Amino acid sequence: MTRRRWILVGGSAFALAAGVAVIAFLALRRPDYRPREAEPTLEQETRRLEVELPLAAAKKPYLILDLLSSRLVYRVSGLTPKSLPFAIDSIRGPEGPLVLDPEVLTLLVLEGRGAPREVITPPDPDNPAEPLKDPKIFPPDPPTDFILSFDRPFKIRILGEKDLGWKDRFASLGKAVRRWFGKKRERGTIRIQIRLPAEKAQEIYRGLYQGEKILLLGVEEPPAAEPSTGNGG
Amino acid sequence: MIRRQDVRSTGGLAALLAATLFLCGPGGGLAQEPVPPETPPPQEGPQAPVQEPPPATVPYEPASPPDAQPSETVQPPAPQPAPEKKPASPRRPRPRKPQTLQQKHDDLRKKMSALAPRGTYLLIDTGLNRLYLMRDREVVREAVCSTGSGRFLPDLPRNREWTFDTPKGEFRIQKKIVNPVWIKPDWAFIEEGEPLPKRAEERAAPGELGDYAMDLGDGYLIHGTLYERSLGMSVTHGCVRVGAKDLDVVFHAVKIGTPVYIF
Repeated sequence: MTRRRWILVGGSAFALAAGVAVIAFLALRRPDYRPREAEPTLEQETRRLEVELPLAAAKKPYLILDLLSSRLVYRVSGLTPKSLPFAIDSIRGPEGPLVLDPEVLTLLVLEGRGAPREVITPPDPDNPAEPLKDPKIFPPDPPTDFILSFDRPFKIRILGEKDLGWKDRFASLGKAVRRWFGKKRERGTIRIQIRLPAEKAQEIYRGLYQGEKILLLGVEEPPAAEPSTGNGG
Repeated sequence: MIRRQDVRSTGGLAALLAATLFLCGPGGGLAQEPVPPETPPPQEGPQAPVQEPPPATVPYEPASPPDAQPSETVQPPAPQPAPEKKPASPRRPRPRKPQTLQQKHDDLRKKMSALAPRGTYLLIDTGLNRLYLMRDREVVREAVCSTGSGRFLPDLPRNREWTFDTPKGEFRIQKKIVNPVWIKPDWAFIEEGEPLPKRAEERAAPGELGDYAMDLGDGYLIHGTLYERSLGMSVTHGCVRVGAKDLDVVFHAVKIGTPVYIF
């Protein structure tokens, strides 16, 4: 191979690597989602309380997903029994990553926990279940990775971190690729991904119920796309 | 000497004075809407944001419980002679003072705090399977419990179905039962693949619910269990199971009407 050819190959490889690096940088670039240090202003706090008061008076529990403070706060009848910290992986709107806005809040109603209901099948009298495998005595673990869906165009993925073996890592990578390419992405949906320890994700899953209200702080619903007003040429 | 025009204006002034006296006099005047008590002037300078309760993994109450209002003895008003009825005049509502943001905020916080319970109550965390016996802001006892499995049981021949969730929200203890006997409902037999019994006595299962039970209504109970190994797991049909020692403490600490918050 001539020297010139070596230079050409080396240059191409360098250009390719640089291109990949730039693409990766652009793809992974995201706003700063670290928990805010500043306390909410009086106005923000008042607005939140205005939305919260009817929820608290309804005597049903509700959640506050505070993206600004990276906390999931459990509330019932004016009590705050629990609050779980999390890390934000991504918040993406139809146009790309979203920046958190302390002035906005959105009330969501939970429609799905992202896993099918487990159906009980009566035991077969000829083939009784082993006591240690009987889900009535030892139920299966709840999922650690699930996507919540709501009455409005939001999807929240709760990702529980656990120690993965290399097989699990490959499986999760495959899952991510399938999710990226395989599914038809809903237009106009805001996708939020938060991360916390696996057992905390399971705890959240167990405590959720359909119809639960979740007050989302920091992100609002994107404006509905205006219908085309063109005259068609 | 008073000119004619002056007399007219003097007469007008007198009429105005008389009308004013009539309006402001005792027993007279226009009916007015009650005016809210005046609120203190807003504080000057930057407003300190009100702190939320600090995050915690154990239950606690909000930082600012409602202030106790001293009770007052109110004397019944003495009978007054009915004022003369005057022709209705158009009402002019007195303009209310605009509420400042700080006042609005304080008002909302006060209303929120007023919803929170005081005294003894129970908190049940279905996510963590924990029951907390609370007294005001303090955890008196923390107990591992079991709550609903969330599983689904269809009964296709009879077109019925059940989802075994523990209901969430605010409840009150409606009954306290010593040595409760479980009357097994239909789903208990369907789940086991057994035929439904024909006689009511066949449904009784004494000892299954432990020594005590506290009724939350709609068939949901806080009770004991024979299977303490499964405490901490979501395995029940909607009731809340507690270990025998904790159940004893909780049962004797609560009264009928004690609030129970399940989240």
